[in-house]
Amino acid sequence: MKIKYEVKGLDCPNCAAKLAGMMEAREGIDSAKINFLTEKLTVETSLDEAAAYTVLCEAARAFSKSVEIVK
Amino acid sequence: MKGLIGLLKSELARIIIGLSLFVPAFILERVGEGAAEHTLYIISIILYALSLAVAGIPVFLGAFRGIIRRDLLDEKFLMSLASVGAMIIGEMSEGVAVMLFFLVGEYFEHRAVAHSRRSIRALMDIRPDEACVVGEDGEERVMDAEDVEVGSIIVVRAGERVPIDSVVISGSADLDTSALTGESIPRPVCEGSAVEGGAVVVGGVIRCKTLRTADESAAARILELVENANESKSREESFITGFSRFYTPIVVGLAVLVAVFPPLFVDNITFSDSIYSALAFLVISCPCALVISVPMAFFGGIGGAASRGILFKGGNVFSAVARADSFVFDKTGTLTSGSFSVREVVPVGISEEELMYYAASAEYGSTHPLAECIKGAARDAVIPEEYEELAGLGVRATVKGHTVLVGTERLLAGCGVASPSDTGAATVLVAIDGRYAGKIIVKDEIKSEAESAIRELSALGAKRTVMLSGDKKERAYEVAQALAIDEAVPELLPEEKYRKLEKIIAASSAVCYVGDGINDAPALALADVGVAMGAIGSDSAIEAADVVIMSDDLTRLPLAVRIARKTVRIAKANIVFALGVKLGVMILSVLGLANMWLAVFADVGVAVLAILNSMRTLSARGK
Repeated sequence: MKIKYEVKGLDCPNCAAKLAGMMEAREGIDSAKINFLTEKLTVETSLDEAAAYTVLCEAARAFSKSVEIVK
Repeated sequence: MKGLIGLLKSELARIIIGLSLFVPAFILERVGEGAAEHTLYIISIILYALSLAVAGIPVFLGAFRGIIRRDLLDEKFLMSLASVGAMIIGEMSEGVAVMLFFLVGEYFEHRAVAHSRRSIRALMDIRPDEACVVGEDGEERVMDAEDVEVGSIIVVRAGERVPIDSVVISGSADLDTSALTGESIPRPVCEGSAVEGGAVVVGGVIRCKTLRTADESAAARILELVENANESKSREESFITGFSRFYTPIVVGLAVLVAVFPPLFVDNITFSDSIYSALAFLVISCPCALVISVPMAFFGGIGGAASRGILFKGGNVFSAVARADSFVFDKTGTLTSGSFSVREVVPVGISEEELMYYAASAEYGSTHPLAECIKGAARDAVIPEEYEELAGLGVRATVKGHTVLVGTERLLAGCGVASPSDTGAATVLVAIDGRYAGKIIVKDEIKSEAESAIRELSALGAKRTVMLSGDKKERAYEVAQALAIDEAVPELLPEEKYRKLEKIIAASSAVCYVGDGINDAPALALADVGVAMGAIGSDSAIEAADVVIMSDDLTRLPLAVRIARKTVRIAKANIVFALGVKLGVMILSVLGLANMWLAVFADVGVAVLAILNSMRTLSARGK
């Protein structure tokens, strides 16, 4: 399933790429792409919507406290 | 306490507090220098420490997170290392200043990024959220455009945006489509006209029936195109992403070398000197300036072009358009408009005037472009007593008691009228009372702006311009000559156009094919750059093309070339500028000529300048 989110609070495209990498490392997240300029996160996942959101938020918190994922 | 923590979350507050601790510390340190008493020095150290803590907390926290996830090349970790390192080798003020100015730089960087995002979003703010729907009871209800079903009746008043692609069922108004097509002159619409979602109604009220859902409407499609355009990367962007992966490890590696080796081999360099140089390397080890500013240039270019009704379908398209040196045009619908004018009238057995009179009267009720042109050319016409339009053939009418046929050879043959067979698509035959009465030869009109558009392309360095046409030799050469097009290839069948384009591509470095997207999708896809003109409603054209020009105004083509070149130029300039400054600072710091302040400028200062430079692409004048 493909889900799109908004990502707020990222510092730079470098950080965006790192966060996306950390998300992809999580189980159930097949691919995560973050577009820094449009602040869009596109995720391919085998999880359901609620579970995916929880996993993604965990990854974001582990990366930086200032990052926020909006549905 | 809670208020204080809240305050420290604001970047600006941390900068101000940090600076107001830093300045007295700096003064006290200088005043206390050489004095026997250490009190002033100790106070200055305390103030420095406080200033560093205020300014650096989030950076240190970030560094800590970096350590936890074993990412020692993390920007914040390296910055913290540089700052703390400077303090350890006794450069107190520099250690704090690095952090403070990093913060200041980041502040401006974030502002610049936010500003760019806002400008681009404002440009793209063409999608209306609400629709005023008329219920079966005649009552108007405002609802989310997304929830409106196909076939609903909506009302759009002056000043409002059409929420969804619709057809007008009553009322009339002027429609401003500038947000969609870049065309600034409003277009009149009335009953039966199609209106696009995102266009603004100026003057008048219209009631419309929706043809699509909001998500499938023009504005939403354009937005999606622009958004997705950001996904396909230009060569410059790919270069930078690839490069940034190696940049940080290399610079950090160099920093280690710079710290360790010079003191071992050069007599007058101490470890304190070399470590200082190495710390400057750490400060500039983040590739952020590049990684932000290059994609930002393309993002701005896409946004700026879209505001002029030109959609680039990806960053990669910019370089291709900027490089294109051969331009191939489809004639009909691209260089010429859809309207016709009478070129020659050849009457047989009656006068020219009579022939036009009967033809125009017979065509009285028809809105076909050929009919419009005949009616426009005739001096006089009457309403026919009987009238029948035969799709694809012509019309049959009774004018003043005479049976008049106007149309193709097939129409006349079908009614048993013999006619000369050397006719083309641009000829209308007329028969009166079962006898062939002559022919009207028409020509499609060259778009008024075509000549200046072609001239501008040549001025921009187009080496070769070619016109492909299915039309007769005579007309094709005439159009090519009028427009100063280098070559014209007439009388081509659709698949021959494709073959011809293949040959041109083989002989040129970068070919741009310009068509109207109707029937020429394969050619659009084949060329290095396919440009679809006037394609606001055509899905297949939007699909196949690399550049979509929403209006059918040809001057947008040279504008697109200028925008593409400007965007690529700015992206390249950013790469050279950012890399150049960083390299320069590295060399200076190895030579002992650069301090850490300069390094901070090379990092965040350059990022801010590069971002501001990128935003020039938004203006879309292409100069």
